[in-house]
Amino acid sequence: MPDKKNTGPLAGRRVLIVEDEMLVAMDLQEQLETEGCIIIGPVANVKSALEVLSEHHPDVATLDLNLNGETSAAIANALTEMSVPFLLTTGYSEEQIDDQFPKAPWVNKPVNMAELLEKLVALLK
Amino acid sequence: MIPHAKNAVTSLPSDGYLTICAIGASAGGVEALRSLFGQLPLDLGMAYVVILHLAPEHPSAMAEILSACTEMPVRQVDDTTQLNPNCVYVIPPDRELIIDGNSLAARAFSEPRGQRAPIDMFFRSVAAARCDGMAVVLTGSGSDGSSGARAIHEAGGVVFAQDPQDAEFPAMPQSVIATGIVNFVATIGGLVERLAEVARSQMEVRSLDADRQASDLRKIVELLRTKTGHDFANYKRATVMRRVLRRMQVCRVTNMDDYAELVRTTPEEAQALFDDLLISVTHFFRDEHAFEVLSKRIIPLLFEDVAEEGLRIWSVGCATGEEAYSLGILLLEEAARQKVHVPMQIFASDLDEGALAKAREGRFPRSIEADVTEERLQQFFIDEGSHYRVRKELRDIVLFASHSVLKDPPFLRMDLITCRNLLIYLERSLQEQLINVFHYGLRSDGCLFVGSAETADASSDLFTAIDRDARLYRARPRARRHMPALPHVPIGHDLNPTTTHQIPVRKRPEEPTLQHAKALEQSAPPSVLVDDTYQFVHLSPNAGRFILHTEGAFSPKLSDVVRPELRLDLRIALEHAIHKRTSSLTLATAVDFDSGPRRIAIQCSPVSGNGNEAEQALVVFLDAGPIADGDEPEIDPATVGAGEIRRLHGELRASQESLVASRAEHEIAIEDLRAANEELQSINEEYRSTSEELETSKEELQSMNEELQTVNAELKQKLESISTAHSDFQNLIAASEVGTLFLDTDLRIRMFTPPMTELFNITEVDVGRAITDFTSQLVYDSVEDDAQNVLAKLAPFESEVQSRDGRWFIIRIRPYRTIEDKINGVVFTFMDITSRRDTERRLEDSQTRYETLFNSIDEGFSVVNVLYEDDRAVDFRFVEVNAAFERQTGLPDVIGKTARELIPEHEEHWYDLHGRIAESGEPERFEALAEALGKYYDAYAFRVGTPEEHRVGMLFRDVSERKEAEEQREMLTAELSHRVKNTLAVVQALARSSGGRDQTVQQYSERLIGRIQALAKAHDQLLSTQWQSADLKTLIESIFSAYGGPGRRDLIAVQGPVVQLTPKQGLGLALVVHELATNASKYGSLSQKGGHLSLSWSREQTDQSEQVRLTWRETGGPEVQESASEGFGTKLIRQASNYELEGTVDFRFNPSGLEADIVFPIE
Repeated sequence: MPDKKNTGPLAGRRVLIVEDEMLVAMDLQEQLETEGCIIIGPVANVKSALEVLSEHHPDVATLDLNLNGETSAAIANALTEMSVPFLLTTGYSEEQIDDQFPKAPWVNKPVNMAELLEKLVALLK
Repeated sequence: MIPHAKNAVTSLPSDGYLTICAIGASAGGVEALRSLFGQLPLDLGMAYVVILHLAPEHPSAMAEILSACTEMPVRQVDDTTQLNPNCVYVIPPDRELIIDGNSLAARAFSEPRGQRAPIDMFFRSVAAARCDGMAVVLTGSGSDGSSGARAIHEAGGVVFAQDPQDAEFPAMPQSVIATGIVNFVATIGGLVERLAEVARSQMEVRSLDADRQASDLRKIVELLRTKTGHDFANYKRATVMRRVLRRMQVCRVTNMDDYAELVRTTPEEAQALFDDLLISVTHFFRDEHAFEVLSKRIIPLLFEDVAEEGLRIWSVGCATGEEAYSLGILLLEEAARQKVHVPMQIFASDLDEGALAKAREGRFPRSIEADVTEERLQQFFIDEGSHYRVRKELRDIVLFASHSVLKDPPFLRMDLITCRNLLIYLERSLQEQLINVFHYGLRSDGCLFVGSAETADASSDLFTAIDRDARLYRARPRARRHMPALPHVPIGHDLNPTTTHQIPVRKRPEEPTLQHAKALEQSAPPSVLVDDTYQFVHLSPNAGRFILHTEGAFSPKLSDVVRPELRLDLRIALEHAIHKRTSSLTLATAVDFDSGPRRIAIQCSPVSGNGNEAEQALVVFLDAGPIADGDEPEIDPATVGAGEIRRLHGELRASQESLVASRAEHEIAIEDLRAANEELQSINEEYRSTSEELETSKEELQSMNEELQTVNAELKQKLESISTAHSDFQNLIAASEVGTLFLDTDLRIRMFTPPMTELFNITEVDVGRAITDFTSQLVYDSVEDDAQNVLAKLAPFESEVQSRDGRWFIIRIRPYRTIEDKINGVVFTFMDITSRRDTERRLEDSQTRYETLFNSIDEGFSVVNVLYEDDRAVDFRFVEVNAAFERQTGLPDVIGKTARELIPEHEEHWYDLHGRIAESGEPERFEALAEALGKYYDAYAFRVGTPEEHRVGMLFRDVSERKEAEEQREMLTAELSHRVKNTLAVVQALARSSGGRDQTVQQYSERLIGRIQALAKAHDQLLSTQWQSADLKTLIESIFSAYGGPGRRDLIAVQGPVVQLTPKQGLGLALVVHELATNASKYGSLSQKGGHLSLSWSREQTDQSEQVRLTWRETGGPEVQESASEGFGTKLIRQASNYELEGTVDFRFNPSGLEADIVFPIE
């Protein structure tokens, strides 16, 4: 829970975090909550993500490309269908990403938080 | 000049009718034919058939010879051919030609050699097939063609003959001209013009309107009747029409009106047409009814009363003999029926020598089957295929003679005379004369048989009708036995050369002639009227006593039968009377009558007749009274003694008797001579027929000689070319290094070329010796066996042998075949192949080396033929592969197969690649996948041979393993990068969250490092299992190792079954245990002495899955107080349990120590 009133561009925005690395997910959650976001998740796999999406409609999402060996393309498709903008996070370099994957802004791991926030804001505009 | 049409018509005219121009030639014919065809226009629309006398066993060059003279196609007819206009057909040797419709057929001669008449045969065939054929008779000896030309003439055709003056050998044209039926006689040049005119006029005549023709024909017949007095109106119109059309062609008149005018104005043409119409037609048993009556009524009658000399029958105008043979058949049949053997003779006469020759031949076409019954054909004819020939028994009773009934004396003492369809052509008066002649020729009661349009009724005093319908008459008995005056010659010479030794005994005529009556009036004494042969014509009533027939054959001559005393005197007197026309009176001679001797004188005087000879003589016997015995003194005793006179009388009588006897002998001798003469005549007949055969042979020889001359010229030319060929051959042999040896079937040397002398010890003089007699330089001793083998099997033989000096030869043995395909020995050829063998051996060595190399390399190698479809390489066929190929591809036995057969799903780029290289010739090195083979290849491909061969070679190596390793390495690198980055992200998160408000840098650092190390330990664990799994117990112990230092190990109890964790679970559990252990060592049971920690777990089975329950229990530590807010550690534990272990955590803050249950599922 945010411990102070936040009036930034992300305040009150519902953000879905899809990240298999627990520690990274916790970190993201904390950082975004600091920005006043309402976090949905975080979820670590496709199944959980799709379940969450059947109940929630996030404003924006961060999506790890590789979920413990599983690609998150299905989630990306679902998000595209729901017109939810999303941001990709990945440890792969850009050329290793499957061409078939829906196009989206992209942040390399380890995440530079400032870059991430900036791109999220851009997505929400 | 005669125009030569360049575009000659070669197809049949639209009406399908084709005129045949048959050309016969013999000796001298080659030149005549060349001249004829050289001038003949090419567009007359006729088919020309050339008949020659060719030597049977000699091929004829006639067709080639004629080809050189005319542009018309010329061919020798060897079997059957369709006739075409403006073509020339030539008879082949030893064949005769016949026409069948529009076809021409060659067939074997039906006649033996010597009796062949191919020109007649063909002319007759044309006559049978065509009513407008043309016959041309050219130079030749003999008479072949005359009878055939006659047939063509009778059929309505036109006959041409070469002018005998112009002909090299005039006999043949002369013979045909003699038949009187030739329409044109001219030189070759003239014949060509006439032929052209007639052919053209014929074409026009053929197109005349039929109805118009009919009325015009009637007009012409009417004209003819007024001109000649003969009415042909009742003749068959077609026959008359044919004759008229032929005359029109001959006169070159194309219009019937014009022709009628011609007949009207020129008597010659009317006569010519009349002659043309008078063609006699005869066949067997013509007028069947009449022959029926003849056989039923007349013939049996003839057999009832047969004279000693046998039956005699005369067939007048016998033509080709059918009637005569018909009569013969009837006679033979009757003789057979009555089972009697009677000599019989049929005299058959005609003017026409040609017809007689045919009649004598006794050879008739099959068409006689229509007239002669099957039985008679069987009995009296020999079937000779195309003809029937009369059997000898029939032929022998018929005697054919050239005889004019109008000019020549008639045959006498006939039982039957037939003269049919001759009278109708004669004037009435002439007819009567002929009837008279026939009566004279017949015996009393003899029969006359005339044609259906003729009668003998006008001469009822001579003949009575037996059957008027059948035109059969019987001669009335008549006193007069005189030869009636012949219509065309004066009487006078001996008309009756036949025998006199017998007169049939028949009833004498009763009534005296007027002449005798007259004579009686003049002279009352007994008298006899005799004819010029001294035969009795009549005796007066008392004359009988002067006749005394002596013994011997009966004689009708008065001079023979008068009383012997008178014979000598009478003979002399008769001679005077008949030959000198002087009357005479003999001295009275004593004649010894029964009543006593009387003196008789004879007066003999000529009667009638003119000129120097008398027809008859009257002999009057004058009786001078009886002689009394002793009347002798009437002879003057004064001059001659009575004894002397008696002696003289006696002598005279004796000489008279001896004279009579010698006369009788003389007559018998004459008879013998006559018989001998007849024999000679028959021998002569035989000679004549032999001579005819010789003539035919001569013809053949002549014709063959001419051809040989022509052929000889050609042969000379051929000989020259052969000698050129021969010298070419000699030079070829000399130039050839190949040893050649010709052996005959006995393996004797026939010929050899110079190189042979090096191999066999032979020289030119050894030709003719057996090759087996010679030693050779070859290590080869089966010359004989091999040659015999080749001769036996006729299959070529080939072998390689070495010579003693180390050279190698290839020997070929072939059968020697002559041009006629006969085997006449064997041919050996020896070719030095020493250098070739060396080269071959080197080549073989190099080949072996290459193959060894090829098969020993590890790389696969293939040579393929690229296959195209629409210029695109779509497949390739393996031509050659090495041993490694199968190892590299796993494909066995690929030679001859295509890639698509072997690996249907082979990638297309392989085909493109092969096509590209075959096209460009640029070698390419590349790596490519062959998925169907599951292989990855490193290959080098290049073109082999010429571009046209489309051949590509490829060296390749399976690099699948290397490729796989490369790929894995790439994947690992990527994965590594990913992990490193992930790990860095985790470290970043740990770094960010490990801080606390009241922490020193030292504390933050320791906390962060501890957490990182816990993760590192989990990583160690995972690495040891290839990142597959982590053993729960090992993991926990490794984390505790940081806390369980010496002396503290007993404080910690770890217990539970073996559980394998996933990497994620391992990492999560490592964090959880690390946090709990850190907490325990700082604030819990491990922070003071007496504290204890137990960690135990168990596996539990739930409904769907198995789970692990892990219990953390601290005891003996400081009292536990649950803090108001959860620190990061707790949050981390909870989060990790949920997130990483997908399980739950339950904390129990017991005062004795912390207890926690962590439950998570395992696989």
